[in-house]
Amino acid sequence: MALRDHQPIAIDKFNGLWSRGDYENTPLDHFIDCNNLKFVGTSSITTRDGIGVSQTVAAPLENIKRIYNYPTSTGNTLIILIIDDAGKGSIYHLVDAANLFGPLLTIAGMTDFAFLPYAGRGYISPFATFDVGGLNVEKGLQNEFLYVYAGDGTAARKAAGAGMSGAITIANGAAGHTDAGFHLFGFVSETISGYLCPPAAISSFTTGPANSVSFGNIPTSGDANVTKRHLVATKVITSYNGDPTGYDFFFVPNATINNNTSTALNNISFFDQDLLDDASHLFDNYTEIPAGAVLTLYRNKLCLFTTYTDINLGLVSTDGEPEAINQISGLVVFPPDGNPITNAENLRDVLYVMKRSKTGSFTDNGDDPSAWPFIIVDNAIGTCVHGIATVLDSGSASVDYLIVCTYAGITMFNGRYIIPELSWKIEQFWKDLSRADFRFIQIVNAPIQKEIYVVLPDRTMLIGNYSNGMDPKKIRWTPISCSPGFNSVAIWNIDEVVIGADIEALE
Amino acid sequence: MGIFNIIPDSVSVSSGLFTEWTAFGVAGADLIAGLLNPTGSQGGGSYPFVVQGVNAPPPPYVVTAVDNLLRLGFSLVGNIISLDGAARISFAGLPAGFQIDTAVIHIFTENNASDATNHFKLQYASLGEESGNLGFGAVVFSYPGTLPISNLLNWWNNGIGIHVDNTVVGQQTSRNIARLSITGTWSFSYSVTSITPSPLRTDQSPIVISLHGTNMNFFPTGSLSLHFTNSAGAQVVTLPDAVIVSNILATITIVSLTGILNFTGTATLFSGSVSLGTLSILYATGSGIYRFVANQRHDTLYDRTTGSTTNVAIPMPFAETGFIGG
Repeated sequence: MALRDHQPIAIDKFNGLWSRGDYENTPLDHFIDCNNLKFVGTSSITTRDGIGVSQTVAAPLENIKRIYNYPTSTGNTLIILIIDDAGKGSIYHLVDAANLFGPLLTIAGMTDFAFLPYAGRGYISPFATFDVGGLNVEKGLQNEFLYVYAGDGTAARKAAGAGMSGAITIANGAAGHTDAGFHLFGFVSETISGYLCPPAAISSFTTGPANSVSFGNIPTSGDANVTKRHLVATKVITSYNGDPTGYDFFFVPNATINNNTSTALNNISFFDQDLLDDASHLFDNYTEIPAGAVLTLYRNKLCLFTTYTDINLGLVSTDGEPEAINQISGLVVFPPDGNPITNAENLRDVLYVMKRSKTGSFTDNGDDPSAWPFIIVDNAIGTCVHGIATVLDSGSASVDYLIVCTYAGITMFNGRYIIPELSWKIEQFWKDLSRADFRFIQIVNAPIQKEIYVVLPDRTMLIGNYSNGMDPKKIRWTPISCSPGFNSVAIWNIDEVVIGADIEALE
Repeated sequence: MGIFNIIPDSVSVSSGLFTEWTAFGVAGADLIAGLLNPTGSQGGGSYPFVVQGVNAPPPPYVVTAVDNLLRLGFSLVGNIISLDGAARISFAGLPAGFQIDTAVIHIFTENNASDATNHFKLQYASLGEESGNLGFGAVVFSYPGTLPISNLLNWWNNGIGIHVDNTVVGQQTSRNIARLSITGTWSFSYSVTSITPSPLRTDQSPIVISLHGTNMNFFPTGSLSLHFTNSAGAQVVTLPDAVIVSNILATITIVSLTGILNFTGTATLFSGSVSLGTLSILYATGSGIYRFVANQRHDTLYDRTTGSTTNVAIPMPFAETGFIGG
């Protein structure tokens, strides 16, 4: 063909990476390879934005392993895990570029952690990866626990707590009223995070109809985080069997000591019909909550999964009391199949729980969690420990779907996995990732930029730009990299993409 | 990796009568020396060593048929190995980890034209003898491969025998053998038991790289240099001459390195290099919390060594389209 007959092909649209099938099948407006690009407008590209430092302090944090958003009552902050040369993981609270709290918690062997912000506090569960029969299993550290951080720079402490010990003295008080008869009385200590310890210092007393009741020698808690103590009592017991824990206890109205120092509470009057707020379940709560690899919130309940001793177990708290987890009725079990629970998320009022290649759901039916029905949603597709996209600082669902990293690809989930995957264009690229290293994947969704950021096992990042539509054929993909390796990503202050980089061993 | 050349440094007759032809008027010792020197032309002729069986005078021909063994030895302390054409040194002077990767035995034989068979065989050990007669000319045996010994150390234990088995009285057979040598390629296989700190962090200065174990036996005088090469083999940093103190190979300061690096020492004693292993260089200065900065055309990284920041280029932005046309 003569040159003058040559028909030039103009390429004026650049729609990102294409990695499926032969190179020759790559559409002309896509790339067989690319790196460090940014999508501009509907079909243009440029070099990605540069990265800049995010801390202005003299000694910024280094060796970053994990970043979570931590919304507090006063601002959107970050909670960060670093690992020192000795292998100890330390968690810090980055308030802003110039203000840092911590370390809040330092644990040897903590290579990752789960985090759940709740009412300004932060719940921290240290976990690590264990080789179990050749399978990398992320589960809570052995002999470690769920921690709670107050958000004020003080050290994180173990969530929950044990009841007080001691014996109270009880006597008739001033003129008042009770339902006369044999009662059991005790005190429940309350920590600063609102956790109610099991009733303790239980004693019996037969009240009179015309007297109030006074209490002395009330124990104080050795836990400095206890800020209140509440009187609890049984209704009249007509035939006491001698087992003080065998009866229903209720909080006595207007019988709270708002400190951890007073040892007397006098002249308390109540009728049995005033005893409405049950405290009996506190007996069965964990006083130390074992660490797990997954934390999420469902219907105002803290849910923790994958403890060291049981990779199929979930612990679900009482409504509004994230540290109150009943050791009997608060348990849910994903049917064992040898694989650990890797993630859990709430969507449309259903708690979806994932393993690496399986998805199931629990639904709160108003009964105890142990009675919640479990349904298998997908027997082949699941995700990894950071494989559900978080949205801004809220955690998970954007609009009405989840974006999930599965072995098959990056997939939208609205109760079922939508095929084709969002990553349909780069199916080969995705499937070339090492499954054994999917634990390193972390995904966030930045709706303002209309971009998905995915930290990959090789510590580069994959960006999916969906400004042309959240559609497998319209989303545009590009890998990006920088000299430090990416380890973690979060969206801060609405649309600021924050990246964590650790000490690098470049490939 | 380099090229070596080994020649034997001793010779002995293991049994029976072994006769040399002195027709060129050269003493037997010289002829033996000629055999041991593969490059020289000893004895005033091109055939420095002669073995033959004949059935008739005149002297000095040997009238007795022979079935003897001439054994060539290799000592560990004699200067018998040349690396890359350099002066010969002893094996005892080689660094630990030196290994022969490939080897070829060369020996020259020549027939006297009265017999189609030269009746020479190479014998490597008492247990192994090359099955057939040597051909004429430069006969080679490759190693690894067809060499009938499992370990080249057998050379040092047993030497290489030249078996002459012409027992036919009156038959003049091959008479000339010369230039026995072993050539091939060599390299170092060195086991680095520890390099501390490992992994290396670029913010820890200086970094002491210590080799524990067998002495490297590098004895240069100020001429050893250390090279870092990346995983692709490209040299990225050349360090100045290092000072070897005992087992500490080098004390160096790394300012900025990237990649998994091969730490390579090169000494003048050997023109090759010794790979000391793979070091993971941790780019500590880069770790931290970052954010994307709109419209910034470079990356700004933490620099832990200075406590400030450093600007670097965004790594290799590119896009490659698929095939166009056909």
